[in-house]
Amino acid sequence: MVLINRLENMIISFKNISKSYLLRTVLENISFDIHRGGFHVLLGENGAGKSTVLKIIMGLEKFEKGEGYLLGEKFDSYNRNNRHEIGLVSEFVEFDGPFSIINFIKFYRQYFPNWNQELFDQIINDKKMDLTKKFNKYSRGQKMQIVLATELAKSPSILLLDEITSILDLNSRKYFLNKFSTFCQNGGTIILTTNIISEVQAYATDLIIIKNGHIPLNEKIANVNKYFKIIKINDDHPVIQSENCIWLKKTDINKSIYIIPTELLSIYNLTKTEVIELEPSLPEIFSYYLNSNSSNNKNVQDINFAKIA
Amino acid sequence: MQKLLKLYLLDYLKKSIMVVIGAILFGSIILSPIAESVEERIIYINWASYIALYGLFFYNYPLSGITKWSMNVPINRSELIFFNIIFQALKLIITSLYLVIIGGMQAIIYPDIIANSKFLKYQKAVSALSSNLRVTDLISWPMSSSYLMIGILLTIFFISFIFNVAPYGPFKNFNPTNENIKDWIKYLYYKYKKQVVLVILMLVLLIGLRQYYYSKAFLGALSITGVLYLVYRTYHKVLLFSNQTHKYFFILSILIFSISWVSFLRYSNYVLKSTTLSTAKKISEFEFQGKLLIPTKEKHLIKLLEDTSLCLEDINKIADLSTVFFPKKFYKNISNKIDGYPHFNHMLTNINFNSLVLKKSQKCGLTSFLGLFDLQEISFNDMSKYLDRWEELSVNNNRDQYMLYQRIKSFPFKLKHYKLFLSSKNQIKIYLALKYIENTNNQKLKNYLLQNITNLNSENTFIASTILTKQACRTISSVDLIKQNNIYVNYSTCGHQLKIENILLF
Repeated sequence: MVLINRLENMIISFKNISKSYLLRTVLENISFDIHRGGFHVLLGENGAGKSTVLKIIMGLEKFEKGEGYLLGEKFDSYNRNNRHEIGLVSEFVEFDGPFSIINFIKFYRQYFPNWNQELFDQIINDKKMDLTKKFNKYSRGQKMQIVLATELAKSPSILLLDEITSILDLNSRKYFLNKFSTFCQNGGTIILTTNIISEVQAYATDLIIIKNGHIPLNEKIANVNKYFKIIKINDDHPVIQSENCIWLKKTDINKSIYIIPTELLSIYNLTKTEVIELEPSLPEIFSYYLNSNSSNNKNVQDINFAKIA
Repeated sequence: MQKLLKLYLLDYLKKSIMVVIGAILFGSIILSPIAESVEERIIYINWASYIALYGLFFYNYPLSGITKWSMNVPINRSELIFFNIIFQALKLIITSLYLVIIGGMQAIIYPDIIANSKFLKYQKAVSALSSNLRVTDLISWPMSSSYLMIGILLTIFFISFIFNVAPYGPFKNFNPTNENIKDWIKYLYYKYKKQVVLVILMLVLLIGLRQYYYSKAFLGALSITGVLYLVYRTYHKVLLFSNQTHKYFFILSILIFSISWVSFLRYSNYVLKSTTLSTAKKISEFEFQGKLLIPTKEKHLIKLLEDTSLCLEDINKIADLSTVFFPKKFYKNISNKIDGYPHFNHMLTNINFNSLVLKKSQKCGLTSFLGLFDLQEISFNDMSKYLDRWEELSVNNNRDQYMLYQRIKSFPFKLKHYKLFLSSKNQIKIYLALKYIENTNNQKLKNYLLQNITNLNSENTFIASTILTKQACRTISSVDLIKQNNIYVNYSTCGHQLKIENILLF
């Protein structure tokens, strides 16, 4: 019964998917599932393949190997008539056409049975936007806000957001993150790609880290902290020789703060005095994955977390 | 799809009305003042409208724009493709309607000017041109397979540009830079080594066997499939078809290729069977079909050459065909082009001169046929028969005579042959002899010429006069003067007066 529920809740599934652009491998045998509900953050450096993941989900990019499922259908054969179930917001989504946005919206909303005009109007009014202009007359951030408003108003089950935080201004970021939070509370699922975790960590529920074509981490944010410890040790401590011990900052002349996987504590007999009681923040964990070689080797994830799990 | 069509068509209509009005205003207000007549003014307005409508047509390819947001909308790929095709077709109709309306309005407002306009004159000139042989050839039915193929290819190109994703059509995103090509080669090499090796082997095999299938028909079918592939690729770039669709398209392209190829071959067979074609056209059809169907054996060559109605075009075709398709033993290459036969760079060997050449029923065939033979291998008797046949076929003219002379001047005629020529009534033979005298100044032949002077026609008389005038220091313009045999000329200039017969003794 539990398994059936889990399968029903699984709305996106990547199974050993590989994708490369000619000789440059972007995704290599990646597998992960995304369950209904929740705010999933897909975190990775520039060029790590975050946008590619979203494009694959939307059927905008093909992959060479593996299988993928969206709402129970294969990516390849996903029925486009169900597109009201999913929305993509990205810089490459543009309402490019010979019409003003207000006219376009009149046309656009006809396709969506659950169109929430109230929400759309509310966002437009809150952002004080004039919709009588053509799309290309708006600034980059405004374009993004218009697309966000339309995709939220169509009330999809899944909302894919590609690097929106780097384009929106501070107030708009906060405004829309609140909207996303409400969206998730109402049962919606969000996958947001970003390389800046600090602003979304308060809203996100799940964290997926993507590095060098692999997924070294796919966990509930609430659990992630358990896997790491912050330690303050002398710079000549043997633990720093470990490739999984990542330097964060210098504190004293001889001491620095590091982040390490929890299991290293026992391996190196680190005492309580060396472990800082503060839980590592998401940027620190991301920093760990960015700087450790571990994520190059997909088994490291298994070593680190499978054991603990 | 209807919603989309409505949205974009209304916009196109709105824009087109604005553009047409703008163009007419621009033509009337800006351009018309520099016009010298009403007719010129109409031409300016028309050109302004044509350019504006052309720009509008090619500026409005909405599919690329739609695909920037259609991923979020429940619209199928097939709907988008149909939308694009219908939208483009309606655009064509709307644009054509505007042109008709503009022309109609002008015809109503300025009926006399339009009726006598330069445009109609151009149209008449085009009609006159169409009576030209080549154009008539082009439009006569059944059309030559090559012309038909070119027509089909042009139509497909046109359609593929109009009904494509962007005005630059199948070549959208076609950017084969060196880097791209290198990356692709590396990619294919590392990722698909076995398949690449297999494809290379297949290509080698196909190239090796090309003599069995390579032809214009094959190339035509390949081009049609290629253009369709480019169209598919362009649509794929924006709509991203599934692997299943790729498979369907692959099967479809094989079908299209096969059907096109077979259809071209069948049509060519129909042309060959349905009409009386000249040998050149027959050969063109054979070439169109491919080497397997082209006559490549000696008996085929002889059969082609035996056709009594061969003319220059046919001979040229046979000449081209022989070097490309016939075994080398049938011809030998020549280093220098023969005067008057620029197409020929080889000669046929072991060909029966009497049965093939002397039976030609047209002078053009007889003349050009000589380009295929090595003169050194022809006997004097055959050459004499050839010249008799040449004389029989039609009245000589200067150009024909000169061409023939150029061709056969290297034939090893002897003095006795020229004497025979001068005593004959065959004007081409006399012409050859006179040209010999002119070039060599042979005194004995000059005497012989005087004795046989009555045989000359007017053109040869003129040459004879020229020869004799040089020696007589006066103009001897008519045969009668020569015939009088008592002309005294001032040799003084020549010095003293001499009788013409004495002149000839010098």
